[in-house]
Amino acid sequence: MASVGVEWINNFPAPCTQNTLSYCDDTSVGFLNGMVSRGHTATFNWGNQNAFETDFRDTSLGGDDGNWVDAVDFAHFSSHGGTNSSNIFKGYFGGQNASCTWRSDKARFGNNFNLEYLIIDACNSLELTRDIIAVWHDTFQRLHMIFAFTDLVSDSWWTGGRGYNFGRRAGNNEKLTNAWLDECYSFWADDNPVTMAAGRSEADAKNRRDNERLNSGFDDIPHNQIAYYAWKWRS
Amino acid sequence: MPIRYAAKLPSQVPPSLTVYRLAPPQSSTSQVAALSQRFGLSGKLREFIMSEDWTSYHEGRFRVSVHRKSGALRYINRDKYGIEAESDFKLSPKETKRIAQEFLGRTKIYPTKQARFYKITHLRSGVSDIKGKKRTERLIDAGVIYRRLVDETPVEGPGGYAMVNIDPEGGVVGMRSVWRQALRREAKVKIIPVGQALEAFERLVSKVKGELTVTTATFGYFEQGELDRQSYLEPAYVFIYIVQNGEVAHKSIEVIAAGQQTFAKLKGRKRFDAGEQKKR
Repeated sequence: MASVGVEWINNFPAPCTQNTLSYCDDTSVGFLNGMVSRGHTATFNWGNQNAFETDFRDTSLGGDDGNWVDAVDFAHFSSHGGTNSSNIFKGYFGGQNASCTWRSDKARFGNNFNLEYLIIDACNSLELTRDIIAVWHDTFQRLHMIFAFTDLVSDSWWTGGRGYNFGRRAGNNEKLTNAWLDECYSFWADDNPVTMAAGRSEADAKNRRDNERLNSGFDDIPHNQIAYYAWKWRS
Repeated sequence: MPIRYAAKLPSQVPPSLTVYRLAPPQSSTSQVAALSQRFGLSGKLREFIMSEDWTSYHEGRFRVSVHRKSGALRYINRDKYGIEAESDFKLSPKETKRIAQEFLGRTKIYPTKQARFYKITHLRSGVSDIKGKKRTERLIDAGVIYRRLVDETPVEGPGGYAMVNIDPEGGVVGMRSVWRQALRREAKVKIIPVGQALEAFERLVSKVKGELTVTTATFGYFEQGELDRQSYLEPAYVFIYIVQNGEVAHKSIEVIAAGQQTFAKLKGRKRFDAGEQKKR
C-alpha cells in the first residue's frame, strides 16, 4: 500500500498575496480520497496556512522534506505555480514558513528513499516551452515520475474532479500515465496534462513512462544513473 | 481592473430556447453489454467490473464502460490505447476525420447530424538524454473531437462531446463521450440578453487582481462533465479567462444561466471540501 500526502492552498493573505483560488482542496483532497478509497494510506493533508514551503525543500538545503513530502510515496500539490525563464518552477504558498514559494532547484525527492510520484496540479509545472530537464533533473533523486501540466490549468468546479479521478485509477493499480492524461485533459478548458519519467536508457524511460503502475515493481534509479527522460502529453 | 475580451459572445442569441429533460444513464450490466455490440463485440460474456462510479464490460482486449451518474461512455482497446507504436502518426487531418466520421456512423452511438467536428488533438511523446542532445518528439495518436448540437444550437461545457482515438495504422483504439440523451421537451425559456450576461460575469470577477483576458466566450446549451448527474439541458453563457498578476498567472471559468427561468444549478457544491483546518 502507498502512503499519500497532499498540500493545497486556496487563500493567499499577506505577505504571500496572490489571487484566491477556489478548488485546490477539491483536487488535492479528491486525489487523497481516491487513493484511500482503494486502500492506500493518508499520511498528511495540509491546507492553506498549514502548507509549508519547508515540507518541499530538501533537508540538506535547510528544509524538512524528509519528514513530509519525501517521506511518502505519492505527494500532491495544488496551488498557483509557474516556471520562469531561468528554468525554475515555483509553487506558491499562503503563509511564509519560511518562504512564500517552494522551488524546483531546492527540491531533491527520493533521496530519503521514499517519494516516488510527485503530482503538481499548478500552472506551467511541466512547462514544455521551457527546458523541463533543466527544471527537474536535480529533483529526480530516485523519484520515478512527475505528473503536472504545461501552460495554464483551470481552477474550476467543472474540472475539479480530476484529482479524485486520477487517485481512484492510480490507487487501483492502473497505468499511471494513461490515468493522468485521461483524467486531466480538458479540450473545453484547454488543460494539457504531462507526465515525465526518468530512465537508465531511452527504452527504460519510455517503458516506465508508459507502463509504470503503483505495484509494477520498477526500481528506484539513483540520480547518477539517470541517462534519459521521457514525457508524454495531449494537446 | 480592465477586462480584455480576446473572445466575444455572439452578437445575437435566440430569443428563447427549449429546455430538455434528460434521460437517466443506461448503465446496468445488460445495457452496457447491449451497447458493446455497437462496437462489434458480442456482448454475451459475463465479465463485468462494477465500481462505485462505473459499470465496465470486458471482452477480449476491449473494455466498454458507462458512468452511472452521467452516462459517460469509454471504449478502449487495452492493447493499443495510449501505446506508442513503432510508427509515427502521419495520417492527414482529412483522412483522420474520415476515419472518425465513419466510426461514429457505423457504431450509431449518436446521431451524426447532431455531431459537429470540433478539432483534432494528439497524444504526443518526447524523449531526451539528460543533456538534451538526443531529443525527439512524435505524435502517437489523434483524438478527433466532435461537439454536440441540439436544435442547431451548440452544446458547451465539459460534456456534450465525443472523442475518437485513432492510432498510426488508422485503427480506432478508443472513444470517450459525455452525451446525455434528451428525453422530452420540458419548457421554453426566454434568453437573457448578452449585455446582461456580460454584466453578471464582470461582477463575478470584479475582485480579481491583475490583467484579466477572456479567452473563450460562448453561448449554447450547457452539458455537465463525466462525474455529474444532470436532469435538464439548459442554455448558458460560458466565460473562460486567464489572469496575469505579476509573475503569477491562472485560469478560471464562470458559467451564467442564460434562461430567465432555470431548472437546476449549473455549479454544484464542492466535491471534496476540506473545510477549516486546525493550526498545525
